[in-house]
Amino acid sequence: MARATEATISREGGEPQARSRAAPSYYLSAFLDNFIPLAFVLILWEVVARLEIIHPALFPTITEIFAKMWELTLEGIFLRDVLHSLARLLSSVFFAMIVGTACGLLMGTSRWAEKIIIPPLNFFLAIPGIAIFPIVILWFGLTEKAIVFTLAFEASLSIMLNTWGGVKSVDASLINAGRALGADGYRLFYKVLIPAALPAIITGYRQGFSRAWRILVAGEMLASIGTGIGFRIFEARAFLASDVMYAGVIVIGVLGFLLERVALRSLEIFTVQRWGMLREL
Amino acid sequence: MARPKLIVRDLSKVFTIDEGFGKFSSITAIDNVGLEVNEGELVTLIGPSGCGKSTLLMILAGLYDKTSGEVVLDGTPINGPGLDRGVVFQEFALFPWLTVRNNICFGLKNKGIPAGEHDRIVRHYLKMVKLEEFEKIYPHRLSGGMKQRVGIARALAYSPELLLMDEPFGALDAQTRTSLQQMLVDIWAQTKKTILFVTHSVREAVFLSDRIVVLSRRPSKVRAIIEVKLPRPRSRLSEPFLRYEEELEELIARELAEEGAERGAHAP
Ligand SMILES: Nc1ncnc2c1ncn2[C@@H]1O[C@H](COP(=O)(O)OP(=O)(O)OP(=O)(O)O)[C@@H](O)[C@H]1O
Ligand SMILES: [Mg+2]
Repeated sequence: MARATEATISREGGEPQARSRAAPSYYLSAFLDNFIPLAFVLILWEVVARLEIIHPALFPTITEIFAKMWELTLEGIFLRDVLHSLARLLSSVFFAMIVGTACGLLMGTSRWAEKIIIPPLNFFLAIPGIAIFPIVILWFGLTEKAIVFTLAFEASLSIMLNTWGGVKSVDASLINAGRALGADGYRLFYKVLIPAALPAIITGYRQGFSRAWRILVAGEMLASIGTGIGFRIFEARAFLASDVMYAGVIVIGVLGFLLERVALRSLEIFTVQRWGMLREL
Repeated sequence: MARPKLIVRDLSKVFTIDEGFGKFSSITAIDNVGLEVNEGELVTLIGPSGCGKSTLLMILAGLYDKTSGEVVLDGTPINGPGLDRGVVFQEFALFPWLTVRNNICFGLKNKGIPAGEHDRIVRHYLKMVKLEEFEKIYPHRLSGGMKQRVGIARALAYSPELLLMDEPFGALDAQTRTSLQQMLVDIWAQTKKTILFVTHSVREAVFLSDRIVVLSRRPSKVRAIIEVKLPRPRSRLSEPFLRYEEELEELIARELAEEGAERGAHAP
């Protein structure tokens, strides 16, 4: 009786060899999953624009927008804008990840750090990052530094909050197991607390990226810093070049999308999803 | 006679509970518990739910602070966690981000056992729990019974002096439970470990134990200690086995009834 049960259990839980490489069809279907809904939106846009319900200068067709994008790309303007925007984004979020993760971990493990950091954290979280931008400009002038500082500030708050929450809600039995197995102090920290809080930390990075990305574009507009997608859109407004504006908006969307779906999602797949720490739907 | 492996003397535990908004209350979970476990003995703790069995075990594991009393293992007082004890948890508590192998290696690394020996040790204990081919699997792909077998291998791998098990089979179905009880008895015979095992199943206690410690309701005190003089291997259906089961059931029922009467008498 007991033998039979064991055998079934082993078979069910079996397949000991982990599948180690994704099949090519995975990438194809992942691409299609993401692309088909978008293609639908684009086609709808093209049809509505061609019907000229809205004045073409205000609502150009997708084909015109893509043509403009191609033109700007050939002139090298777009590439420079994209690179500048990405450099600002990545450098500030990188900084925010270090500061935010460190503070969040500290808050999650030290009662004192928690007591000291929580009130100002909640205060600053209530302020939209862009609202402090004029003040930051007073400090740094209309410079890269002003933008990067604002983004880093904003992103680190999200990362801090999520990391703190993640560490606080780590299952007590995992901590107990870690301690019983001889991990204490910093070992408990990096061998148990950090991996256990990783799902929440990744969520923090996600939010950090998307909040920073939003502010970046607004910041580039306000700072008229000469390059960047936000600046390009704002400048095009002066010439009523709606195709440039739409092209810029699309690029912002696509880049944000790629950051989320390719970079952060991959991080998730390689870590918490592989470990079964995310509930599957 | 040799001195007992583990001595628990006058152990008490009072929890202070933060009710929020500045209010605190306290609960006495364990009240002056004393017990002794001899080298190589398998002792079970049995008592009603919420009586403080887990609390007692966590104190022995060094994971909770005690309020008063003394715990001595091999002549040394216990005041914190240590690799001289292995703990098996009811909720398995495997690290999901580590493979089965690395879960088992966790304690080995902390004990400073040379990496060259890890392979041999991991194989040895996985074989003991009959999970050889699952070394590289992440825990979420194991069934509950398999998870707990890894939990047992993980706790034994660094050769602790004392194995503490908190209702390790409580979350499993009846059949898996029976087969794991047998596996535990086999492992115990093979390793000659001293084991303290918490359960609230009378049948499990009679099947496993050399001695059974019966705890009262919260705050828990030791109500009785029963020596199980059944030869091994034990059959759950034999006449003497059933007699032990019945005796224990009666004892616990009587205990609860008395307690109820006492409480009733004190009620306003
Ligand atoms: N960390 C804690 N903080 C406050 N009270 C606690 C804590 N842990 C346990 N208690 C209380 O101590 C008492 C004993 O709990 P414990 O978990 O030891 O019971 P148990 O005998 O293991 O029960 P079960 O058989 O259901 O597992 C309970 O009343 C519980 O509410
Ligand atoms: Mg318990």
